[in-house]
Amino acid sequence: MSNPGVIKLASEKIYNHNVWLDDNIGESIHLHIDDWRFDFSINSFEIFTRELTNVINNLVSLEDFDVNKWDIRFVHQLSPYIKYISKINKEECYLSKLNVLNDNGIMINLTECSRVKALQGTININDTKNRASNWINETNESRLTNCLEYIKEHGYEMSDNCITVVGRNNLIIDGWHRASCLYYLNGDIKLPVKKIYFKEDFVPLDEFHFPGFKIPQNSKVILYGAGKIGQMYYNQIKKTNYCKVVAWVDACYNSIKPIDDYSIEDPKVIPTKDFDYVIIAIGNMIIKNKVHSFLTNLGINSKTIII
Amino acid sequence: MINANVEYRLISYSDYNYTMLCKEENKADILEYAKLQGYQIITHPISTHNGYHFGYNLTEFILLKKQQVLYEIFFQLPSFSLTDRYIIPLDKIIQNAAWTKCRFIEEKKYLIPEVEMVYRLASAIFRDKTFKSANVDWINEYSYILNNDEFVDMLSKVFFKYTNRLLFLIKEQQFLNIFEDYLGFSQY
Repeated sequence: MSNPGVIKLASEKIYNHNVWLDDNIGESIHLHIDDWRFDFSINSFEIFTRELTNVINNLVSLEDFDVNKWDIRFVHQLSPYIKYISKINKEECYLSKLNVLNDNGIMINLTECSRVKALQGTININDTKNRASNWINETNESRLTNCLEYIKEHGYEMSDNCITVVGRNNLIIDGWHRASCLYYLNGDIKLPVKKIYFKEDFVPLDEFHFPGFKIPQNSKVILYGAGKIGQMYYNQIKKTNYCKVVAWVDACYNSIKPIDDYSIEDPKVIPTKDFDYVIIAIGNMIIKNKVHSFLTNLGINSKTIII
Repeated sequence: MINANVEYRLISYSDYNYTMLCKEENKADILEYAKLQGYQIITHPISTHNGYHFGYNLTEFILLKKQQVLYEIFFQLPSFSLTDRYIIPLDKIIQNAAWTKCRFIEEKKYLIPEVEMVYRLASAIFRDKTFKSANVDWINEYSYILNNDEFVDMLSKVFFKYTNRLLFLIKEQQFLNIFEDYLGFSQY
């Protein structure tokens, strides 16, 4: 019979495998992978996690990369992409140039995000969904308050624990709360951040998120690209109602079946549509630039093309 | 309900509440008897209807009411789990021990103290997350059981390597510390 003293520590789907971790108090730690179960004592589990940490370090071919120096919650978020890291540079950046994934999953500018607004008193942070990365018994409010107090006392730590960003859009993947507190306390200052670069054949993380910070809410948009990224953008828009998709186009429109109520159309129809922006939902930078040229040749104002 | 002519063990009993253990093979007979005798079948607060999950084939509880008296019927000795809203049966050894012997009090059949002690300790830690004074009094009254090998064996099926630590804390009367101590236990 099962141990009543079971606490589920983690649960995740990894490459279509159900993986979960239980602490069975007094008995052992169980790691489940589908129908398999691996039992660990506390000591052996600690050794196991140390070995996994070494594996992560070896996946990244950077000399001074040490995952032990990173926030464990950030490592978890970054884990699917770790092997694609090509370099990590320390660079200077104004806070207003940083972007975050807001609570609804849309990428928006740091200065407009919910944490900054909460610090400014214009929203109640506890009205937003409790972050999955909060510690046990930690609320959004306590996390933000603790961060603010820490920054007031210690300032911005510019060592290995500085804010980490990724991609052309400087998407913050670690340090949202610190960046928000620093902006609230100091305004738009310039400070060092860690920027992660990925290998050339990998689509940057920030490309998977609809760039809401580039267009006003409720805009009429045309999605260019019905592939993986286009469908991700569409699903995010559908979930959040951030803007309205008035048309969806793709160069291979003839071979793509309709998605929801949208027939995928020939890009040449764009000039006939009533829209505010064309969003190029393509990962490859070379193709993206070619599409941009195509659109401007069609007579589309480049200010309305979001690349 | 005790007159239903089925095997039972009383777990707790007061003027207005009975909690008893019955055999699953008698469930249909119990419901038939209840219907004939005018008992009202009520949705138990701990039920799948109310969002609880019954694991490891634990049969859902029955709650009957007649003339303001509630009759709660288990078909295995249950335990709450630390996993939220998850109920499981205690180990099979404990279930078997519940039926092997019984204790008679005023012509009613009760669990033997060894089994009741295990049930009370599991309930205190997993359901109540504290030791209520009535429970502490009962445990102290039956403290001689704490050295009984059969009892310790059953207890270890619930608390595993924490068993000895639990027994120590009980003997030291440190009831208020037990739950936090259990959560923080790491010697396994």
